[in-house]
Amino acid sequence: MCPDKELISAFFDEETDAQWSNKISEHIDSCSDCNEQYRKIERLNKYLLSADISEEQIIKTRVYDAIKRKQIVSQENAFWRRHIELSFSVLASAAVLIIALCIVFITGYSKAMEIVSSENTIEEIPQDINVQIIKLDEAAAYILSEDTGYDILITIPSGSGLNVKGRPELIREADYNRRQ
Amino acid sequence: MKRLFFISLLLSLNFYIYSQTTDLDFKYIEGKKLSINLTTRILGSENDTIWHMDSSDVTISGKAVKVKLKSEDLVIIADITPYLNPDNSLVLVAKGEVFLSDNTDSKDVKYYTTLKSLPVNLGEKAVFFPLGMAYDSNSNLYNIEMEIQVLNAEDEEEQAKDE
Repeated sequence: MCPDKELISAFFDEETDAQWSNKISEHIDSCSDCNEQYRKIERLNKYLLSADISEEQIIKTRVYDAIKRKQIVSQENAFWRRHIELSFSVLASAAVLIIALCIVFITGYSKAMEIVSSENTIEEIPQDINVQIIKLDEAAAYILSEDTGYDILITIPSGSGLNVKGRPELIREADYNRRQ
Repeated sequence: MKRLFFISLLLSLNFYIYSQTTDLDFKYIEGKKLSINLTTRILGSENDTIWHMDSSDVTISGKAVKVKLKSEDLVIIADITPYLNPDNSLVLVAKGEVFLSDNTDSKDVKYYTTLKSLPVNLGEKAVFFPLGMAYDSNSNLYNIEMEIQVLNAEDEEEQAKDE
């Protein structure tokens, strides 16, 4: 059974007991994998010693490496890259839901636009009003042509003898009763 | 494909929220409905009511209720606009247009127009005289008057339910 990497590293740093050191040394000589691991540690150690890298830089390098590794892991687990397996029924119900929401929006939107357009409609004001009214029939025809729709239409009985008596007035009923 | 799915889902959610906002606008108008009750009367020289007609309509603050009174020789067009203040008081604006046949033989037409405003309270009655008022009871002239009462439409509905 091969010792783990940490134990090999400890062996390299001469931190293991003499009894263990002998056994590990024998194993490394006989096992190609562990031998390779030991060589890697050895090469790294040589590189670090030869490159004259300060302790601070080593720590920085380790931290950057750790960050890079995390970034790679997070990219691999990105939302858009993640594979989601959905059954046909789930996809179909999602599609129905989207279509239903679109219909709700379109009906609501068209209603809103109708209101907005009707509220924003500014009646065209004619620049030159040149209407020669001669007879009541013609006046009625003119009014009807300009008719934009009346909320209340009241027909006054004929022969009521109504005439203009003065300036039109708008008063409170209480004031009117007091005058009488 | 997945991207498209999620974008569609987000758009649908957005559309749904928009339609909900529109509903809120409708609800706002719903709470501001005003009911205009009109009683149109023709009064005789003794101030006795010869003819009258009741009518009502629903509007909102700032939107006129258009009334047209029509007879053989007379057309009156009245635009009654209530403006509701935050303290629930009203400014009532009445615009009157009168087309009057002057003489039965020539059928010439006279045209009068007027714009009147009056501050009132909700429920308080006002009277509009589109043809003016005849104070002299012996003048043998008929008066036409429009009694206007503006109420909160919802209060009126509740009152009608209670009755």
